Amino acid sequence: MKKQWNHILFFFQMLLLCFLSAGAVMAKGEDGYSTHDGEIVLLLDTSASMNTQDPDRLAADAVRQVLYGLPKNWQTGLVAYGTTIQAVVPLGTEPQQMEETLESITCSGYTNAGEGLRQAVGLFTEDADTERCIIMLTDGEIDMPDSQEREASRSLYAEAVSQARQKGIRIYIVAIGSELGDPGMHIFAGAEETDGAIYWEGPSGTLSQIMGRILTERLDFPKEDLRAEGGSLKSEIPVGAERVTYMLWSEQPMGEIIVDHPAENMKILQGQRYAVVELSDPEAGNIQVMYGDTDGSGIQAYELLEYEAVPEVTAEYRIEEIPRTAEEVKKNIPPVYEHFTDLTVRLLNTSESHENIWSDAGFEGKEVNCIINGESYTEAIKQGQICITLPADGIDHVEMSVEEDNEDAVFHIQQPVMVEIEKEPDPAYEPVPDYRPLAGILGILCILLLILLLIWMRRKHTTIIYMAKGPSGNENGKPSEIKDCPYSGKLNLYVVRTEDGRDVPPQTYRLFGRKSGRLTLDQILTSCGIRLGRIGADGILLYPGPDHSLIILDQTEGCTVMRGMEILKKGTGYPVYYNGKITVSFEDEKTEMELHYRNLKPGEREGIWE
Amino acid sequence: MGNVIKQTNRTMLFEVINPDKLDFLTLVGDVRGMESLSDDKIREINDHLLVHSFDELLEKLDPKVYCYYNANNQKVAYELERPEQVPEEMLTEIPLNRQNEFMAMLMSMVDTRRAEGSINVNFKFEKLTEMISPRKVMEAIRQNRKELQYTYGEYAKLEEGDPKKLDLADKLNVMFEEASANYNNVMAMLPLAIEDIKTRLLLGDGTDKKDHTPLALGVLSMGEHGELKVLEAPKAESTALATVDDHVNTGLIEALKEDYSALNEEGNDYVASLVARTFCPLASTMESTADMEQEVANYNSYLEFYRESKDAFIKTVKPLIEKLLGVWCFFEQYPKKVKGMRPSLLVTNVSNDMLAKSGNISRLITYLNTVNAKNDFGNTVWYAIIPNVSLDQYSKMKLTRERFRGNAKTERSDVNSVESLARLLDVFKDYGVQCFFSYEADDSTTFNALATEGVEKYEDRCATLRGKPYSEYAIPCLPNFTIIPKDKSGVVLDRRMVINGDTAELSGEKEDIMKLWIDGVYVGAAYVAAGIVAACQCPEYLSSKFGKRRVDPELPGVRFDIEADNHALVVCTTMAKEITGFTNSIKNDINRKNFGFVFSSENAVYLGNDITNIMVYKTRNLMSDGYVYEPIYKTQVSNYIERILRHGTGDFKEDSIVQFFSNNPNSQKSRWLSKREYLNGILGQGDDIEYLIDEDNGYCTLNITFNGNVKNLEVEINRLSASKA
Repeated sequence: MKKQWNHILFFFQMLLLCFLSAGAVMAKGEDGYSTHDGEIVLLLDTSASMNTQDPDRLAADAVRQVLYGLPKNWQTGLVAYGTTIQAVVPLGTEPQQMEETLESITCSGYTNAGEGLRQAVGLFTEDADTERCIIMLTDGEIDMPDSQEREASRSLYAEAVSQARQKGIRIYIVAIGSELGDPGMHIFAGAEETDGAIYWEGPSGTLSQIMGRILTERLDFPKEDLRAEGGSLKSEIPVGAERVTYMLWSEQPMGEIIVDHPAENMKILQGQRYAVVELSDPEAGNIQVMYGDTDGSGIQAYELLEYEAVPEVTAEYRIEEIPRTAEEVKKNIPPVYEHFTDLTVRLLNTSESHENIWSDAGFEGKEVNCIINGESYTEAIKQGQICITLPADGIDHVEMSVEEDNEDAVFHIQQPVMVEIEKEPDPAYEPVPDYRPLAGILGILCILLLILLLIWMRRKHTTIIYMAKGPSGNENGKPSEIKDCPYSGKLNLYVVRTEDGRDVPPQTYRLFGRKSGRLTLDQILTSCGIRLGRIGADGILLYPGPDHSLIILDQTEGCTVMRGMEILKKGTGYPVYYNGKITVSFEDEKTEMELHYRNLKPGEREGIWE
Repeated sequence: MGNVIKQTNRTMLFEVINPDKLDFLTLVGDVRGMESLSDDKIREINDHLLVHSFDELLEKLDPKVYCYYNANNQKVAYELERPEQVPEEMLTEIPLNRQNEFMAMLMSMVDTRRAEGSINVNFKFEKLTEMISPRKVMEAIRQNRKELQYTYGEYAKLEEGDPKKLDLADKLNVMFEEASANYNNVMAMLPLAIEDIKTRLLLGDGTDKKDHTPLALGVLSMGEHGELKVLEAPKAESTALATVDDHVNTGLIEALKEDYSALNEEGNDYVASLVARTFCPLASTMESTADMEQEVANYNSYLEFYRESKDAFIKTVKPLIEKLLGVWCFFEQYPKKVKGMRPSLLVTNVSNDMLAKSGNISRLITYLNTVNAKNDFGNTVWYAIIPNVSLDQYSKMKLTRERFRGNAKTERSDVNSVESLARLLDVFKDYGVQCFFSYEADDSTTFNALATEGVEKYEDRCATLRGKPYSEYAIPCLPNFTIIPKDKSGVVLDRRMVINGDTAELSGEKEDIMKLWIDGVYVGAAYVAAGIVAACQCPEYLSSKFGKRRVDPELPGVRFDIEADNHALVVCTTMAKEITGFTNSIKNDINRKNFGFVFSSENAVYLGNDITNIMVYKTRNLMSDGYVYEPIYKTQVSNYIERILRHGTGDFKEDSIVQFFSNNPNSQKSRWLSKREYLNGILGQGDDIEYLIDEDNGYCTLNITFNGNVKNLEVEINRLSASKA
């Protein structure tokens, strides 16, 4: 039983641990900086009492501190109220106009905070995902000339607070002077109800310090606190920053601010208790902001980095064949392809330089969240870019946005970007043809070829010649097959007469040892180096015959070939035996030659004299 | 089988003797389609070209030189070939026969040297060269005219109708014919005229008389005071000299004049008188008066003309004379008195270059196919002579027509090219004809040259002929024989005549000596080599040398090896020694190389007798086993056995071959073996013959052992007609 209780206790402990872990995770997400927009309305009490409580008009200086200390995605509005509303500057108004309004404000009348808050709440937009807050700088409770109006203003204030709470607008109340020492005052209800905060000048610091605290502690935008050391601030501007703002404030007036750093534009604003240095498109590198107050102990500062960027996305379409099994190959199953898009993303500065922001060393290895076609991906930056591979099936474009969750800088990213995926058709699959029928046919053809070859081989050694009629039985005028007869003997060649009268030395052509088959007289003459021209020698054919005979076949038109005294008929074979003589008169009717067919002695056959 | 081969020494001479006569190519004629010649054709060839003696050669081929006169340069020209542009009537044919003084002189020289046995350096060549001087010609005529005068006198004595007178008339006709050979052309008359003038102008010059007083013939008488004096005979009173003239001379003179006039239509009185004076010197009826200056001028002119013409004649005729001497030497090797297998010579009478042309060589092949490839061996040619081969081993046959201008070469036109020799050898090898060849005959190929230079030069020259299928049939013969050495070939004809005061006399000045140079006469060694080898084929010849007991009278001398034993001492040539001999180093060189058919001029003694003739030293052909060249007798024996075998076995029938070599006492082999002891036994001591029949290839290999050295002879068995076929 006790053991069971132990198990249940362990279960609840583990469950609690899970909840705690989840809560920690969620808390971390909520604590992270975001680059979402913000709206802030400065509600300035301009009642007559302010002249007393704020004779140096430090309230206006505080307004400016907020106005210039926010990133560009934060819009600032202003409502100045006394008995009535003295000035309303809507959200998004240019700082110059704000300055003009601030300059024109005078402190007089009562304190109609209800109307002022109502006006302020009314300035906010309905945009989603926007942080909203009101910083109310006042020196006293709601005060109107009569009680009715006072009550009305109070009621209006309460209603405005209620609206503010409904809209998620937090109200930060900065109590100027010493009259608002009681926390239970009606006016402070606004801060309490809207989850805001109340700051008392003095206990909470000077106005500039209170505004600094609100900016750094209450407003959620990326910034980096800087430490002032010995009269200067030192920092390093990363690659591709569009705008860098250095906000410095102090409880005492600061000396002259000096900055020497190359940038497209640099602006230094200096109030009574604050200073702002704003550099547009600065060069990357170390920067030093020097200020007149040599004792830097009272100076607080933060750096606000802002990037104007656009993702550069390239999409490479890739096709991969899923390896097939041996059986699939054997069965000739077509391959299946996987399609991918290899995305390469870089974050480029929108300035003319189009520098890759991620190429800065500070980004290397940092994980970036991306939304691609609605899906979230997280990839680390490697060598200034992130590479993501997506399955490309079913999509023909990529819509991508980068969630740059950076606690040090504000990213103004023009996104999402859309990239078309240039798809290629899958490789045409050529199924391996079925060679079996072809192999069968080829096999049959090979067999036929072999048969033909055999026939040819037999024919090669078997020459069919129409032999002339003669005294011997072999010469019967019928086709005779000459089978496997080797050449033997030799031919002595004597060119008896040539056209040009030149004397051609006698030559000997060895027939013995040559492969059986046809020889032309032209071949023999050529091999002996006798050149008589085209006079019909190629039409006089020689074949090896039986009984060491040589068969002469005249297939020329104009030559006359004689065996002994007998003129050979055209196209008819005549055997010549050893010591026989053939006389040839060529087509030019001038050239004549004699061929003496002689036996070779065995010694000569062995090539002794070759 | 018996003695079926009656001759083994028929020799073909590949030279031109008389281009005007029929030659081998012409006689063989067109052989297209013919494998052999008819018997009639062979007989015709033999009738025209086959000779058995030198005289038969002179008769059949009638060597002659053609002479004509060139009016433009006032010179006489000689040519060996009939000049076609010269009309027949303007042409004089001079026969080259034994009567020709130049020919006779050279032949006498050989005979004399042989008789004397003296070597060149000791021989007095000028004694014999003088034979062609006018004086010697006249001496010959004097002898003739004595006979002529005597015969005419006898003829004149007899009455008309006397039968004996007719006989004498026939004799006179012959004598007149011989005499007319001299006076029917002016050229022949020149020595007569020269001697005639000399006789008349220098009468008494032969004595020691130094008195230049003009000759006035007179009679010895006593003067009034009893003194002895010679009185000039009154010319007007008598037409005769002191010697009595008779009718005989008158008749003879008339006969000669008439004969001269009949033969020479354009003759003149001067020549007629000259003929009369020459052949009838006692005809003193002629006018003895003479214009001395004219006569001396004529004499000098005649002598100069005679020298020039003689010189031209010799230069022209020398190559032909050398050939004729070569033939003469060939036949001389076989003694006239021996009656047996006399060598015969078939003269092609055509140039080798012409014969060796591709278009003509088939005629030779056809001829040899007829005479050498039959089982009738009567006309079988065994030897060939090709003399005068160019020393340039790469000499080519003369182009028929030089189409492109080639390198200028100085070539002797009368030499045989090595290319033509090679072509002929290629034919010879198929028909078993052993060819003796010698290089061009001049002073660079004589015994003297060989004695100083050795045989290396000849071996180098033969390089292109070695290692060939026909090398076995090529026999280089060396050195050539010298008839007259170049440096001793001067001939003094006479001296110029000059007028000294009133008398004419022969000039004593050296420059007035009329001399011509024959420039050396040589005979190719091939003639003598072929002659001696051909002679040795005759058993009777061998018997005459070695005695009958050592020679079988039926067998030819095919196995006779001149090199063996002391055969060379016994069978020596008929040529006289030329030099004292070769040095030992030269002989060692010859013996080491065993190259060629070499003659030696050595001092040797056989059976106590000095050998004064040139001997045979080596008898080798160009077939070599890499060390030595093969003796020629082996080839001869192989050919002989093959021919006998072919004849005896019915063209190599297998069963007959077995019988041929069987141990049966009647078999051919047994009979040969039984005659081993004879010098001319086909199988000599240490010889043997075996046969091996290759049934598969149908061949019979004969292993003929010569003194332990085996020579193979392979013949194809005739199966078709044999019983096994």
